[in-house]
Amino acid sequence: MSALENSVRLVPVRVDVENLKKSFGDKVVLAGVSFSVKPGEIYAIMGPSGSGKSVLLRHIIGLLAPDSGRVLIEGADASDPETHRRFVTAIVFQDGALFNSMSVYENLALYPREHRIADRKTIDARIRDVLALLSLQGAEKLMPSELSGGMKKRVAVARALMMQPQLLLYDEPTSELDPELGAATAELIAAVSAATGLTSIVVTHDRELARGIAGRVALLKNGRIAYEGTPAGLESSPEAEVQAFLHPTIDISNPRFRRNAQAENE
Amino acid sequence: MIQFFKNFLEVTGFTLVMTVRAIREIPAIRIRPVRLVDQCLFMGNATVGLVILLSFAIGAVLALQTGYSMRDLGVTEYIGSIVGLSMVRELGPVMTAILVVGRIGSATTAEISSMRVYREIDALQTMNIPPERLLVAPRLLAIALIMPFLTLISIVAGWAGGAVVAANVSWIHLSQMAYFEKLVHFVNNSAVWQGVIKGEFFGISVILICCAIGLRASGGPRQIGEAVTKAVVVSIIFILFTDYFVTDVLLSIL
Repeated sequence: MSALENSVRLVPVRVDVENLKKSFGDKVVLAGVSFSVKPGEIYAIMGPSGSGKSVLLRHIIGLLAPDSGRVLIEGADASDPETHRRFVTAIVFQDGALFNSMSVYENLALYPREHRIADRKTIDARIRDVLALLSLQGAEKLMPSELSGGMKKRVAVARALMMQPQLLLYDEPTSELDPELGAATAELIAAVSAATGLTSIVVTHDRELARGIAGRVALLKNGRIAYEGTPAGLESSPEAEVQAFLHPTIDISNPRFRRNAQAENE
Repeated sequence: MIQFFKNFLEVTGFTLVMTVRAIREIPAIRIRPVRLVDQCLFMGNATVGLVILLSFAIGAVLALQTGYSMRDLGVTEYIGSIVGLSMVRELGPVMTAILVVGRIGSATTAEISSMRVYREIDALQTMNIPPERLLVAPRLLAIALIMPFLTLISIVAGWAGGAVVAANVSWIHLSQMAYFEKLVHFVNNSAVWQGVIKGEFFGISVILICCAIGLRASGGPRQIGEAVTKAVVVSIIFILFTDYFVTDVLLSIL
């Protein structure tokens, strides 16, 4: 774990989301979402597929601008590119979004090289450390097409760590991973957070991850926050919406597609 | 119709903004000159052979056609001047530009649009690396550097094609000496400059159009294909449409 021990302590940032609204055409994706993430916190955002979690992350990283409301990073507007130059923010995309025409090494070296943060030797050493941290030793020369799904995900995390971000967003970091690798990834997110002090926002379906490492959890449903609080509080919440998400029952005699169709007819 | 114009203005605006950003990023190529070298090698490799082959063929056909028409008038010795000037002023640059669309432009749009669709461009943006720096500026500089050579290669290959036909077709039978004598007599510096400038203008425009269409792609694999088709069609229309006006301007200033 030399990379973690060598980690530079970063100044974590605060994130405030204020009454964020976003629609695509007629479809309302975010219908007024507000929450705050404290510096250095691991904040998990859970919610069913299609509930707007990724759209929310894209607002925080500055790839989307809100219809109304705002997202603030240390009080600065996240939709302004200048904010992301002042504060180092990074995102681990769900599918990795690795540069397919570049090797793993080049993927990792791109940011420090382009921003001339370090000389070649330092970059090489950092890449070795980060790859070792993610059990990816020897993968430098591989192309993204040669990596398995789990490896791609870890390379994406490695690439984000190379930026030494003050705020790191993870979009479904454990989806498509087996339970053990999922647990390892969760541990890694927690370890990185502890070692560097950065602020983490994790979008996930993974209850184990939220329970294991998140300081607070928000449940996003139908474009609104249905619950916000501790992971333990989420589990014991009496809200029907929360329980339906956490403990879905599989009912073959009365399946959901039939219930939904019925509800629509009525 | 209003929608069409709105769309047209939007695309034009996008392309102009992208161009300005790319030009501003050209000094940044010094940090990683390998990107420029890669692009030059790719562009050269992809086009030189084809440019020679097709320009030779065009020059040959041109000599055959003019020879046929001029035989009755008994002025076949002017074949050299006609093939010479047509290749220099018009066919060399236009043929080269169309080959650049097919071999380089399509590949450019395919690569950039797939990077857009697979979120690689989003990733670049979140890393505060302008896509123009990585993807547009090296291509722009590379085409600006190699296009004059490609155009000149095309012109010379066309001349050679014409010469071979003029000398070897029995009913034309014009010696190479006579062919090139007339050619050299009529082709002056100003004509060569016109050809080279025209080629440069088309080459740069094609790369910018293809990059812009690639960067604006969205959706999935089908949209990548659509973007490539669109880039090729728009580029060829652009070349043939602006050719008239570019020629008009060049004829009046050179």
